[in-house]
Amino acid sequence: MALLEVRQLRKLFSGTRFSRTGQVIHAVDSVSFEVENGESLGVVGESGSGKTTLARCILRLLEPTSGEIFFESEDLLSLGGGELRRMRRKLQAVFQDPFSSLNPRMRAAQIVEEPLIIHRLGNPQQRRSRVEEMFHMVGLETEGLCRFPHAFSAGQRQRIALARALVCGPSMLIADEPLAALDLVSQESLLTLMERLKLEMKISFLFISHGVVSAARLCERIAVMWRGRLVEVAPARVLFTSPLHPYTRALLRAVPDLEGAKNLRAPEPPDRTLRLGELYEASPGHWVAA
Amino acid sequence: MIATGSSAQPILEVHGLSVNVYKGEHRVPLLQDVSLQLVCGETLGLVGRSGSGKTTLALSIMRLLDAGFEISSGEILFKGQDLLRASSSEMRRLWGRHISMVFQEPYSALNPLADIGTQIGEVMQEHLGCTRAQARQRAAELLCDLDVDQPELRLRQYPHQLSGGQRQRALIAAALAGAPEILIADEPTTALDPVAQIQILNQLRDCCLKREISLLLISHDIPAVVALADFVVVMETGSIIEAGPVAHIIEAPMASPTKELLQAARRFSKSAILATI
Ligand SMILES: Nc1ncnc2c1ncn2[C@@H]1O[C@H](COP(=O)(O)OP(=O)(O)OP(=O)(O)O)[C@@H](O)[C@H]1O
Ligand SMILES: Nc1ncnc2c1ncn2[C@@H]1O[C@H](COP(=O)(O)OP(=O)(O)OP(=O)(O)O)[C@@H](O)[C@H]1O
Ligand SMILES: [Mg+2]
Ligand SMILES: [Mg+2]
Repeated sequence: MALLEVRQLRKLFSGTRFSRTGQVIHAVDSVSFEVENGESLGVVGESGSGKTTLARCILRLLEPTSGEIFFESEDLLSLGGGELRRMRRKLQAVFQDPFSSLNPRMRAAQIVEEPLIIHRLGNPQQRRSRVEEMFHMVGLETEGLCRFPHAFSAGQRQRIALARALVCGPSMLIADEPLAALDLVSQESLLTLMERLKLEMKISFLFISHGVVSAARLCERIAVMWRGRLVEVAPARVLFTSPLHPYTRALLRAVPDLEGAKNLRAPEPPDRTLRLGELYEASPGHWVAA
Repeated sequence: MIATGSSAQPILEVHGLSVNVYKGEHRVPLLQDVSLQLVCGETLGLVGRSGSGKTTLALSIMRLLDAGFEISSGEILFKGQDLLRASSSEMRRLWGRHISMVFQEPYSALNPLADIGTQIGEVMQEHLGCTRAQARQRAAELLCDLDVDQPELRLRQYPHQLSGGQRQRALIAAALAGAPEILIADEPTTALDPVAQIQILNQLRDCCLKREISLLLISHDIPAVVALADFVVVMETGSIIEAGPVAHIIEAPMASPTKELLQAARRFSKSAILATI
């Protein structure tokens, strides 16, 4: 069975905190996909299309409205507190806004060490050296170990979040825009690190990113989201060479290029009222919404 | 500093700025002798590795550095007035209306307890004499210009109810709301998909042209800087290592950190990726 399997996942929100109008937002709508052991899936798509909501549902930080989620063959939605904690060791996350997910009152070293304490791994010395190892791994200087999150730059905070997520050796990492705050040289070095983790530690990534090129470098397959739905899933190369859905085409045309950067011409995204059907397999492994 | 043209009138000048932070007895320099100028109506791009000091520079200009920081030398002139000597009430008069900023991390920059409409409308009520209703009306228009779907609904939502890209656009709207003379945009498009990025960059460019806003654009996205900036400044570990007209820097970069950033940008292009996957 697949490492992660999501079936017909839906998440609806009522529009505002005190909803009078009863306006409903279909943040995630009938999303199904699988990620095999050791495989990585990139999730790209329109801003507001439900990528973060999808990640939060898988992590059980949000209760989905309906659908099923299996991780290592266990039904995630039926797990209770203790079982969920055990599962979290295997299923880690880096969030889109690293600053708000790092405890401002904890030093960087404590932030990275905490998961080891929660899961009762190692003694203090072992933990300490593991934390230093993680710091090196994500390219942070150990000189920063005792600093609080506010004393780092945005990109450095993203590295701390990554170190924390990796410290207890997960089998899957859900990473929501883990590179967005970094310059391209740093992005490359973290991508190389993640590729290494994939090969050496067999970590699977669910890699959510607006950087379509980064997603293609790290992931075997890419899923495209639009308006709460998956509109196309294909091997990375296939997606770049023969995109089928109009939104995917617009997305790829918009990928920035240094040459010709001066003429900022936005590709026309498809009409928002376009009706979306079920995914069908257009060619082996290449799925697109009808 | 290199001038951008003989008749060009700077609206903002930074001269010899040095900023330190104290760690106990220990003095850590964050900016060293930084000088630059933003020409009236132009866009200045600021690029550099993560951690090189870009946000520190932006916050120094805004006078929003935390208490632990020390500005040890330099001056920051806004139309000739030294902001480093301005009182806090004077700064409050300038914020939003004359100088405003799109902060790098939208989630922490927004107030979790106020709805989006209030946060965008605030500066218009405070500085432009708008009523609450007028401010909300204008806020909806701003969101609409920035391609946010269902703008009316967004006004009533709270930051945690928006997606990352929606929050970022709300922050841009809030920064533009007071029709400032200078806009400092610190990584304004990191949470946007590529299609939205182009749309928002276009909006920013048009808006700055139309209202003669001078833009300091801080970005890791080199193509975005190429698209918008007239002049570029490159930072590395707290110092400016290279500066020049954008075409110049792209075609003939001198400093090796600049070359590395440009090479990386080329490797992240569509054609380059197809060769490797
Ligand atoms: N707590 C919430 N209450 C109400 N609506 C919400 C809530 N969280 C998300 N939404 C809405 O759900 C939709 C999907 O949001 P989500 O954050 O999943 O998008 P995203 O794909 O991650 O976008 P981005 O790329 O901009 O981060 C948006 O329209 C958003 O406003
Ligand atoms: N309180 C502090 N103590 C020690 N170092 C600090 C403190 N605050 C910031 N720094 C350091 O100052 C440097 C500059 O940070 P700044 O946020 O200005 O970088 P940046 O260029 O904006 O980076 P990014 O692109 O990642 O946002 C970083 O290396 C950071 O670690
Ligand atoms: Mg998101
Ligand atoms: Mg910064």
